[in-house]
Amino acid sequence: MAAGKPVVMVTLVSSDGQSFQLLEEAALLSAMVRDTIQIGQGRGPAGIPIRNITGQTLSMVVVYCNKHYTAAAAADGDDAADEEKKVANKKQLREWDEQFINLEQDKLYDILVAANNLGIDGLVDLCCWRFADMMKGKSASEIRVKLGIRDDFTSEQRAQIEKDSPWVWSRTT
Amino acid sequence: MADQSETSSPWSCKRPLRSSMADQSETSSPLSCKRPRYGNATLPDKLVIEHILTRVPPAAVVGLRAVCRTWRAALTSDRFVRAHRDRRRAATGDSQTEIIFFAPAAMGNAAAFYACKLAPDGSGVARELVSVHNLMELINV
Repeated sequence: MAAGKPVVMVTLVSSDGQSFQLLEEAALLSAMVRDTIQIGQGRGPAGIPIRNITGQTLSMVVVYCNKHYTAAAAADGDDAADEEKKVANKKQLREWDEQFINLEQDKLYDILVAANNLGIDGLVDLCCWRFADMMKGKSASEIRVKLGIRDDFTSEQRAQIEKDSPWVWSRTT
Repeated sequence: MADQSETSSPWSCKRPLRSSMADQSETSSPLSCKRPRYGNATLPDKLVIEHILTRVPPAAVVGLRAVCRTWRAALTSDRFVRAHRDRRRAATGDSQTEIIFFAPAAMGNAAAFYACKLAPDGSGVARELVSVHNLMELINV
């Protein structure tokens, strides 16, 4: 944050009534907050109500916004052509992201939905990579169990799949 | 983050995830399967297919075609293949084409998956991804 800039805080209020105060600039990572402030709302003491997102999830989102805002501000601060440092900082942030998103499926889901509703692109991207990572190396039947998907192939379709790619269904014994 | 090409403009809070592919009904009804459930809630098929499955490595995507009808229709579509390729390119900064192929191995009934990156001059070396015996253990249907 540049010196002399006024510090503006904004309050986000979760669906269960918990308040989170953060720098407005950090909250602006969210397109939803950006839109709200642009139409001249949300700066009052009542804050911005965030519907459908609980305090537990919103607190995680706030941590993400603070971290990414701080990292971006730091990167702006040392605009000297110190490439090595920039690369190192980027790597550090990526490692932080990986740690941050190393969550159970249910929590990850909540954060993905929250990030999507709030329009935080970076966080949506991060959640989707993590979900994709969880699917890697799993068989079709494991995925079905994990995600509660019904095997809705007809017997003809199954026969077709078997014909197209026999390794999916059959075994060599 | 990685793919600015697709997520450069902000997502509106009022709309569901934007679609990178054209909004066609090909991947929804009548081929809709029961929606994936994550914990207590569900993620829309569109989000799962366009935003999550496009991030799964190519070799794993092949096996996911056998999950359900919706996934099969989506994962074998040209639109998905293009979206998947663009996503991987944006993420890895790698514009080389990678092809995956399935070929009999040297011995008996065994077979294997290979991946091969094609250089602009058309040359490339294949590396073995998985042999069929491993695959059977993995898939185990």
